[in-house]
Amino acid sequence: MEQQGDYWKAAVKKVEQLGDLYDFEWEKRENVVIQNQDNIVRLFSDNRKINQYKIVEGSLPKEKEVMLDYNYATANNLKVGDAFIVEEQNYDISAIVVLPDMISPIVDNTGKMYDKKTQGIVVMKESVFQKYCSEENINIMYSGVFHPTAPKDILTMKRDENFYLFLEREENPQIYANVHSQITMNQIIMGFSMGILFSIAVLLVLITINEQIRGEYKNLGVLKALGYKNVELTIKYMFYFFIVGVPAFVGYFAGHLLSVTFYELVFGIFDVPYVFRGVVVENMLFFVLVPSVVFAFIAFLWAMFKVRKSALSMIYNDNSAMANKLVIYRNKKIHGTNYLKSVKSILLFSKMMVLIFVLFSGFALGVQIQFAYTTYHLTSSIKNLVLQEYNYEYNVRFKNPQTDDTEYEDSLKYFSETIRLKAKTDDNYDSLNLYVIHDKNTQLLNLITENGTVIDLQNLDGVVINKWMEMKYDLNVGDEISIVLNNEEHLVKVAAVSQSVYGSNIYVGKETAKNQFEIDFNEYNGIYTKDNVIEDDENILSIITKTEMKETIEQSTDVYGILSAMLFICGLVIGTITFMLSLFSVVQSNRHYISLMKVLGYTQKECNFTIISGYRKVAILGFAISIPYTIILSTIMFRLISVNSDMAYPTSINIISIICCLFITIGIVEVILWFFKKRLQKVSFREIMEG
Amino acid sequence: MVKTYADGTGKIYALNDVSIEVEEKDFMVILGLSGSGKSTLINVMSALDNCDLGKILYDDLDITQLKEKELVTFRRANIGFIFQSYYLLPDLNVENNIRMGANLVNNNDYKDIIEMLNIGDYLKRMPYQLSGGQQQRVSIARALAKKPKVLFCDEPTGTLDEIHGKQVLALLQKYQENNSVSIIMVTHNQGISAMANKVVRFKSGKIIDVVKNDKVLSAAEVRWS
Repeated sequence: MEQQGDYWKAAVKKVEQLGDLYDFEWEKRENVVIQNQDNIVRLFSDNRKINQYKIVEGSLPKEKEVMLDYNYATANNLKVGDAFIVEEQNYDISAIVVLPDMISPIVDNTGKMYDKKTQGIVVMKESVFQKYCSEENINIMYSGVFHPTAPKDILTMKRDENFYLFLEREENPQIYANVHSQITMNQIIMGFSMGILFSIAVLLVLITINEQIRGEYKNLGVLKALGYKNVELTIKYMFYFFIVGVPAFVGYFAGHLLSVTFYELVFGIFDVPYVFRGVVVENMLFFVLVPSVVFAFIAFLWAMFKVRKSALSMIYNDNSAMANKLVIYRNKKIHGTNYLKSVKSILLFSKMMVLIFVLFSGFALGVQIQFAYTTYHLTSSIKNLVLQEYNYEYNVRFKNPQTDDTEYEDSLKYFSETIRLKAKTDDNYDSLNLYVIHDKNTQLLNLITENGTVIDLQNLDGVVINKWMEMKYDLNVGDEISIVLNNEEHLVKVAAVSQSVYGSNIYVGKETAKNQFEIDFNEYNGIYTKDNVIEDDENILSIITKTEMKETIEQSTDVYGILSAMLFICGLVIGTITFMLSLFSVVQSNRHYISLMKVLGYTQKECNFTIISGYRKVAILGFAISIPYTIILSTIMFRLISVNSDMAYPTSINIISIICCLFITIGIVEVILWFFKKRLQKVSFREIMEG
Repeated sequence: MVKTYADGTGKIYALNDVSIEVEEKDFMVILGLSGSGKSTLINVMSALDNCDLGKILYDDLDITQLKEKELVTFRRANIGFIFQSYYLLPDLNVENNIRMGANLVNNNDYKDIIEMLNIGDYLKRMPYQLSGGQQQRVSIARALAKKPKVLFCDEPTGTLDEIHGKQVLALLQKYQENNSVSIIMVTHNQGISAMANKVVRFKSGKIIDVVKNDKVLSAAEVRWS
């Protein structure tokens, strides 16, 4: 069904002109929204060429078939082959699809909040689709894509107000943009957090290889003396292929499963379908095979280097029996009466590898728990900062600017316009919203500075930006910013920065706006109000409630909740396993010590004190090292995220959170130490008495 | 004393109705073949292991009735050990190995022991820098620095040659002359029995005979076997 009105003809002509000017292809996209029993469905035809449907399961529809969107089908347990009714007409479901633009999932034209259970998208054959179209119900939109080789004068386009919005691919559509920015943030966080863990993991493997060779050095010397060739002695170190490969393989799949759960949760928050890609063989090869081969060769080559000496030299310079210089030094320093304390410190330094492992475990616990805590803390902090600004219950937008003097009870009128802000750092233009606030009574819009000072909008000589803009565009109070409004560039002063961390709204008082932009903003196109405005007023475009805004913020913060839980689990697992393996090694390698001490008459408590309690301080030292590391890293990281997203992430040194994390770490360390004290108790005299 | 264990086919008697008396300043040698139960005997006598039946009396104190903590306190105050394999702690130097024993009884004056054992020159050396004989002397110093009332020696010369073995025995004999200590030594070296005032022959968990020597030889005089 074609729209024949002048408006649409003009619109099509305009798109054609823009397509020629900027060299992009476009197509008209029609859809119809219908009430289908208790549900609302948006019908599309299957003839799109741009942003095509991705079929998750099934095939293109025939005459009596339809395709359903993944969310709706999953939420209603509908599968390929099931029946589906559209306005009393029976269809079979031929496929489940994901639409690139379906992820802007508001299927109702009224702006009603999306609900995947009751709002779905149905794709049918063009001929069938046309049966549902009429001049009254059809919705038309245009979708375009650049020619791959098209020269793109982005800057000119960004300034061209023929475009209502200018969004990069990653920003389009809204929900995908949210998810994409969340994924980017997660990648940054994971990159920072896991980067250090990866580096230390590599270090630990290298130390392990070196320690193993050191421990077997004398035996290798004996075998060499017996006539074995160097290669014969060292080829066994290629076994590191499996030592590294098997855990890497297990870790890869565990990580895969975990990431599937993680992304399902994150995508679920935004009601975006997450389709599992399956195991990517190339990734698996990269993450499992490459490190296995590399470490196997490193182990082999390092062993070859070590056994280059003569057999006698290897036997008599048995490194494994030799004490390190620190141990010899500390032995000489025992003079005081607290003999066991000194022995404890000697034993600590006698096993440098274990010491590093324990230090690392404390560090890993500290970093991950603090990161988790910081991330979790951010969620409530962001929510509070954003919601503090909204003292109203409803944000009502009108279809057309209003000039009447209708008095809304307890309300604040504003005129909102999309503007282009020229960034200070480059020539880029970004789309933001300018809010010209009409009334002097601005209590409904609670603009306050970071210090808690109320911003008196009407008496400012400039505009009010928020913390995110301050960070993103590197702006300060007093700076001049370049704003494009109605194709004219205006230099406007930043008069204040509100504490809000989210949103692309620039606020300005009516009088200030008149001075700055030389425009009388006598009309208004929206109000903030506490009144319950009637929804079916024809003049109203949309009503956003405070609850909905809260939900939007919570969507973002929920992701951080999941992320913090992930970080916490990762830290807990890595730290605990490393600590446990280290202490296991301590108990195993000190069995004779423990047994002898018991035979001599030392109590269990003294044995615990001498052998393992020293590692408590080492783990806590690891935690202490993690504090500045985490503070510096999280500051850099969240600043980076803030600049690359639509929200500022306020970080500060929070002593209480550090103390909480310290207590959690101490708790974990104490539980592990308790467990190993029990193991120590089981070491019997027989270890000595029976040789 | 009776001590049994199961080997899957039945009950094996490690100690079968064993009764033994040690007096102050006794030098008792327990002779027997490998697996005869002599090590089990000293483990039980030194409160490291339990017996199934019987009593172990130190003066009037029956140590089989003591709880674990009381046994630790008892062992700490009364018992010393010398092992065939020395068991020096590899991360501690000679002096600190000796202090491992001395520390138990807060003994800060063990210079005479170091002097007697002639190990003063290598107090700062690590165990891996010593010969076998030197290591055994350090092991003896550690045991003696604890000022034990009863010293259990499990094959203390087992890994040493005649010269070094006799040196070790001479040191023990010398120490006993000047201190009120009973020495109970397990060995399969029959020659050493000439040094003891009591010799217990052990076989299959039973005492075959107990011989009291009227004349005790010095370490230098024993026939090494």
